[in-house]
Amino acid sequence: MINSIRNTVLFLLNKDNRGYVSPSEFNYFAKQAQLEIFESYFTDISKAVALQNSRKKSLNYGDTVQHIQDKIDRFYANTSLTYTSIDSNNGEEQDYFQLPSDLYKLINITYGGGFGTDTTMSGGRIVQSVAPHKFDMIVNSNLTKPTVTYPVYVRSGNNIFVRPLSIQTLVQANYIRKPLDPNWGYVTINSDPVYNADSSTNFEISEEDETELVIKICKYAGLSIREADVVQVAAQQEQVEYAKQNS
Amino acid sequence: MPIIGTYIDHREYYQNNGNNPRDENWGTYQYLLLRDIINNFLLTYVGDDKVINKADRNEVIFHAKRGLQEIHYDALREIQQFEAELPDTLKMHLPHDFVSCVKVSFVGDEGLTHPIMPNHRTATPTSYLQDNTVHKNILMDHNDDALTGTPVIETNWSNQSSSTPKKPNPNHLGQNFGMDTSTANNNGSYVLDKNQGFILFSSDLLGKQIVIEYVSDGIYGLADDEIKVHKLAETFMYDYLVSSILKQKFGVQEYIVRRAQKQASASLRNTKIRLNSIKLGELTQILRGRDKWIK
Repeated sequence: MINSIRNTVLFLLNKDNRGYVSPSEFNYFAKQAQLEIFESYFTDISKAVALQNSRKKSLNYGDTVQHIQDKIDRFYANTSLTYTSIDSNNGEEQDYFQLPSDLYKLINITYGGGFGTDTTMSGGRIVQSVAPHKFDMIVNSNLTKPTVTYPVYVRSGNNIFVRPLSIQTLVQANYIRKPLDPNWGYVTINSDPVYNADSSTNFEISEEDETELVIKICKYAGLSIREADVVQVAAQQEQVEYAKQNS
Repeated sequence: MPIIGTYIDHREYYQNNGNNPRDENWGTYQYLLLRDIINNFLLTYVGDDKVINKADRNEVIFHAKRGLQEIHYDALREIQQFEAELPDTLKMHLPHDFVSCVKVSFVGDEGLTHPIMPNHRTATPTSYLQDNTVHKNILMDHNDDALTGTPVIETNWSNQSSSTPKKPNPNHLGQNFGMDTSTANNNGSYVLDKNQGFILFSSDLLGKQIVIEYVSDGIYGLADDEIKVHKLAETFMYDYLVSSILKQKFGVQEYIVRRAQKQASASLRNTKIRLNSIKLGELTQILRGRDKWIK
């Protein structure tokens, strides 16, 4: 996919001898374009749900919610979290679990099992996320005090603080990871870069978004080579795509 | 811990797989765990295309436990029973998970329970200690809090000998105005003090085994994965959760809230009817007495 996109971009840019985009520039633009599209999934699904609830979406082929969800689920990942014990600070335990570095959006935290682990069939218990300002109220409530059955966590940066403190193992994060950076790898033959699949990293977003990727990369490239026409056409094309998807 | 809400084979049910106590799983099939209700609710009633689009689990837990408490007070009537021998002080503590009293009785030699009537002619006040001056000033401790002691009523009550209450008790006679039927019972009497958490008994009950039947709230002393709900109350729990969550949610149309409240109310009524357990055979047996000749 990455090679065909690069070829299309180069073809569009070179059509009227507007300029040339080097492989490293292309890789930067590709990364940026992919991230932009990836992030738009999350706002798109929110809008799609609103439309679905107002009965403006159909099932099956018109089920945009499912469609976008499938695109996002390509990035689903899970991993066991490691417990880090540190000395208590002023009596308050600060032991934490560290979240994975490739985390983009956390789906949930489970305890004692969860999708993809040995104990899948028994299912993990969801560790509920609570806002720091509500944490003490929940802990002090006679009815909602966290227990092993209903554990909670507070997130601070890339760390989560799980309660009750007896939970120190079998904690798993289910999350949407960041997409890998695309890389158009090449070997130089006769001073020309020639595509090398082995050293390349393909786009991870859905192939359905190829058109959008081309448009976005062209937009960035147009800005780079200061070609107003390219930027304008790309922007117009984006508007058309957006209108189509949201009408 | 009994196994509730999960399939178990006959050996495990009847004999607990040979482990003690053997009867641990008896009767468990009529219950399900509150944990499962909460999980099912979050799975089925909460979502993007549902009336409740979002609900924090701690809110659901809160309402579920509150709902369980409510239903324990009137519909479920899962009566707990507490038996202990009455001490010489004639004063007995309330059971640890006591919420409301249903019946107090003593165990007769034949193994039947004999109901004891409450005594409304006395009280269990807080007694303040006083000095010996003319003004009888209330004594204070070093924190300026009033000192309290054992009320005279309680002392007098426990000082009665078991033969003091005459039988028939003067309460039964009524004298000028006929018998006071509210006290016309020969089984002794008791005074319940909910605030201080004890019951005083009349001296004729000394040494007897007292049975206190009471209602609890169904969650005391149980871990979160041990709290159980009767299956006949399952629908009520879901409807109660929907109603409770919707009525405090911002932006929900009033007609939806009303609908949920009506549904919860109807479910509560249904649950009460189901749990009433009125059996035609028993009813017929009781009604046979209607043809009795009163001479």
